[in-house]
Amino acid sequence: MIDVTDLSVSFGATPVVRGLSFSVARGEVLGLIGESGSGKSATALAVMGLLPRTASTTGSIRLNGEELTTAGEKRLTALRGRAMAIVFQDPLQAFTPVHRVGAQIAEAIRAHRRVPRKVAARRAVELLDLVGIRDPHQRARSYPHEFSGGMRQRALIAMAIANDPDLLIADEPTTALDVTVQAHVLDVLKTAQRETGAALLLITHDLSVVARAADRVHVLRRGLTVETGTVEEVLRAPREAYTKSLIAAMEADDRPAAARPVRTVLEVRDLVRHHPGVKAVDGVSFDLRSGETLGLVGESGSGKTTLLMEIMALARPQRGSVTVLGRDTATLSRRERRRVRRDLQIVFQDPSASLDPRMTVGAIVAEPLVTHGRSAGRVPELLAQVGLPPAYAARHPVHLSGGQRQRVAIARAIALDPAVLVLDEPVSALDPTIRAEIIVLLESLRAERGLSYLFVAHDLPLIRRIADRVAVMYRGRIAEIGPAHQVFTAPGHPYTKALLRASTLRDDDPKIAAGCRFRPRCPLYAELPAAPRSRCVTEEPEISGDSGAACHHHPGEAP
Amino acid sequence: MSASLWGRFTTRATTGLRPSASRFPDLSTPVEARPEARPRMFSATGIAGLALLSFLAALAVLGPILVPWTAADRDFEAFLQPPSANHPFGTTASGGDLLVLTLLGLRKSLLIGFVVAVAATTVAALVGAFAGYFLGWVDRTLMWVTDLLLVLPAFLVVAVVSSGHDDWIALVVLLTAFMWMVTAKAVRGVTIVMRDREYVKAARFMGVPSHRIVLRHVVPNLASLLVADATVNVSAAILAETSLSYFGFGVAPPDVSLGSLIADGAPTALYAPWTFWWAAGLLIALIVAVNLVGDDLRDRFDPALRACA
Amino acid sequence: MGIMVRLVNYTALIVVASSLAWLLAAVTLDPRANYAGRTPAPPVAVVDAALSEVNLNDHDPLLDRYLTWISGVARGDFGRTWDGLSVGADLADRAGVTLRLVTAGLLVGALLGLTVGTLAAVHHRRWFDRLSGGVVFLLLAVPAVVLANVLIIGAIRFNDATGTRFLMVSGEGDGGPLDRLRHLVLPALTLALPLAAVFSRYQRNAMLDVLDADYVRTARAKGLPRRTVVVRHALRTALIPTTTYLTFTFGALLVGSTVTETVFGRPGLGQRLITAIQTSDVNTVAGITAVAAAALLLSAVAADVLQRVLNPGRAR
Repeated sequence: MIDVTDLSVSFGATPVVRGLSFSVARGEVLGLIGESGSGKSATALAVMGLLPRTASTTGSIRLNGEELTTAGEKRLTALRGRAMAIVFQDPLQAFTPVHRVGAQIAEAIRAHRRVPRKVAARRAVELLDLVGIRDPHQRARSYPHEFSGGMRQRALIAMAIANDPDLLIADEPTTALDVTVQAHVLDVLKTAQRETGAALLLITHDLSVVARAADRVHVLRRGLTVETGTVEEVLRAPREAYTKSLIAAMEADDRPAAARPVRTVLEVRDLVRHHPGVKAVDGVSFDLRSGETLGLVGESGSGKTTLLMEIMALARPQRGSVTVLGRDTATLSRRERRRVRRDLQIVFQDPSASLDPRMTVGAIVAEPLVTHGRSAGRVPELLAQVGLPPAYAARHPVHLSGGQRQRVAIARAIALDPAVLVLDEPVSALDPTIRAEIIVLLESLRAERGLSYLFVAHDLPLIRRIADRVAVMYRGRIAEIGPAHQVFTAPGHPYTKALLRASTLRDDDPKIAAGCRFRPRCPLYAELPAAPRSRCVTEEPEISGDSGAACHHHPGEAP
Repeated sequence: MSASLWGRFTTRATTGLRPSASRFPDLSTPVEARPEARPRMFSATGIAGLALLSFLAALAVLGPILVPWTAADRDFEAFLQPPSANHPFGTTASGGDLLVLTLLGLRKSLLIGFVVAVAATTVAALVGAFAGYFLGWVDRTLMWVTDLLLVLPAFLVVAVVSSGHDDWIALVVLLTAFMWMVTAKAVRGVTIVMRDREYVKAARFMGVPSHRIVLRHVVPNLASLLVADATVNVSAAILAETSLSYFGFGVAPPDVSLGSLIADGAPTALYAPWTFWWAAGLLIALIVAVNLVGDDLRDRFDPALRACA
Repeated sequence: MGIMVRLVNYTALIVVASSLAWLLAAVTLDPRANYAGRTPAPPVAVVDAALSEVNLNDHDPLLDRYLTWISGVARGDFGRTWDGLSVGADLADRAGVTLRLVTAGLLVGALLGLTVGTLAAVHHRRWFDRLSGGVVFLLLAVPAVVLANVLIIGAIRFNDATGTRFLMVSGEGDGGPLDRLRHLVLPALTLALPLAAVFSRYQRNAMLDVLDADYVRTARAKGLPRRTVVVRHALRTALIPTTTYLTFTFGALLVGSTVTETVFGRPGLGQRLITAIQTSDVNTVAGITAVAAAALLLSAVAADVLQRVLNPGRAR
């Protein structure tokens, strides 16, 4: 079906793909895996003939025996969307914002077939139905921004299969989505491939995607092929160190369970933060004790970030309370608030965004010290603690790598000897190998200084490895909280179960005004008889105590 | 909220256009790759602009000293004469030497352009950054004043007020008062985005006082935008001064500017082209030079801002 | 923001802006000077009476004069010029003259600018882009007064060379449509050329941004011909910001064509602005300010309405 031989792509003098060869047969799924910069997207664009003019390509790409690298633009235009189709990542940008979704799908049909407008429109609705969009007639008339991320991604798949292509390329089709939605989109993609019988080239950085959907896998690194084989072979017995490190990052052992420390350093009670139209945080309670790591997980939009910002603001919340080391933030004076800030610091996700690009590393690390009237003399010592040579103080953040930048951010956060460190996805912007190093650093700092971590991440294996306790957030509330080993091995809430098993959950459900907010997506609710159901509809489930699940029907809850 | 009046327009023009994600997230810059060296400061056109600008500035500063005539001199043997050895640029109808007049005009135009641009950009940076960072009533107040100055026809107000003053300093103050608003709107828009940047949040959570965050983290990171905008304002100020002087509301005698020279020369341009073209030509060259430099800075520092040139 | 809040705010802006202009003019300008050069010099009492008649007497308290003026405005009466004409009627007459000029200039400028800008973006870094870029650059550096005068010189040369008097350089023309047209060509060009330069740059940048967007790549990936991709996906989206810009320019131009109107002797609002200052017509200055502010705010409303029409998806 598709045969790529010795493909090389370079932008100017920079090679991005070097001597890549692979082929995908009809009905087969090949996973192309690699981290950023490995050249996987360039490969996809090269096949589609959509590389920018500045790129140069050598080697051969054959589709059904036809050479594509030398084909003219006219021929490629005829092939694109008909013989080969692509599903891009970042589905928000992938649809033209000013045209309706249905019209854009119909346009893809009419680009290759002389059918009346009405027929194409009807076919577009059928395709939306095929990819599991509810109420497709209505939805075809929506604009792209009115769709959720998962819906847009599915609509893109619908558009790609509109003309029954022979080759379907999916470029990071699930990257922008939450775990449970990812599963759904992958299922849809597989269905679409089965329906059309196309060869599927699945490009991703996520090993679990490949494990779930691919037959064979091809591991890329810096434009070179690292190893190739069936998914079974590669996942079970990886030969190359690089592949091994990818797999290791997916696996996790539980931390040994220990008795909870006594001293509470951060206490959040019934915290509420409503934005106009959005109940971002809607009654959250938890406490963090001295030396403990609380992992906070949840899909995007679950209110994690708002929760962190509410805590960090140290102001009077809309409702509820935040207590840091025994001080209620609602009653703090301006001076006291500054004092409390020393004990509560934060490390952000993206170190290139969290360091002021115009300041030197030295000035960045010194800023908290100077602000609180201390001497900047500790900067070299702090840099050493995070594993950076003191000479780096004179550099600007642009002259550091991502991992080094995150070390600077950590040095700044511990400069004032805080008791609590809030870590907002501190490693998710880094590549797997660097990720591991930063985690080791964080763990050793915690052990040395007796820090408490509030650790937000979407990477479940990571949370499992480093957290003592886990809180799962869902639409502004905590769905489940408890010791890590308990949550991971015996989850009580159906949402936690879905997250851990990466089961399919849709993301186009209506928001609920009363009762259990997980109800529309809940697999358990769907199976319940009418009598116990009514409780889910009328009553918001609560968690009592410091562990438990917000579900009326989980095993630990009285019926 | 009046802030939405031009805010909407300017933020759209400056920051809203460019899709945020880069096109090829996968092949641009791997996170761990060595960061690139800083880009070169100037492109070929930028250097050409800078050279031309330096040349014109040198001419404006040194020229009047080297020319044997002064602005007040009248050559009673040469009225409205074409260029000659004695008067390389020719003479005016009253026997003034056009070379020295043009160079003095260039000097004044340059001076006004730069002083106004620097002053206006400073005002814009402070107003925009404080409004965008603090939001709330600070923003509403500042943006209402900004809107008010925007709806006032600048030309008219400057002309009315300056017709009472013959001082060019007054003109500079007036031009400044009416040139900062659009930049301030742009700065405000960028600041609103910036206040959610993590390094600003980090400073806030560190306990750094707000005014210091604005001055230390926000304004310095706007420097590229501001430098580029200041250059654009130079040419805008020179052009505004030209129009005003053309109608006699700008630079008043005995001062001359390129605008007042063009105004004097336009009626005789048809049969005594030298009275018009030297001043007009130098003015165009000056604007071209400033724009070349400004464009280059703009492209280099902030591609997203190209749109509001 | 509610429509009522916006209406109140806009009204406040117009009232404060024109009041400010009135006060500045009343403090700075000297209507008495209009009588100074007369021989024989009219008696002071007569001048005072004449000035008081039109509320321009600087011997009356400023506050009283302001209250007289503002209460007149509240009734829709913008006061009188120094020689007794109604400001409202005068400006209404002139608004038509300006509107014709601005509409012509803006239409030509917009069409030219959008076409050139779009083509330049599509042919990014090819000869058309570079050539148009150079021309645009030069045009941006030419002040309106220079451009107007250059066009006049060119037109006179052209008329002399062809022995005709086709292109007229002064006035509005009072003959038939053809006469009006030949009076309109040069001033409209004076407005249109710099506008076209600005618009083309704006449109080029908007198009370049959009041509980079993912959805343009999607459109190509589904096999649409390049022309369709450019027109239906890129141009359509790029027009959203450009239209806003165009609309604002229209509002700003209503008083912003001062130079063009004065140089070409067209009796419009812009020209009135100059003569109003020269004759110290405080009420006219304030009236023009009110018109300018209203025009700009109306164009803000129009821009919002156009946004809603052009951007039904409310894309950010």
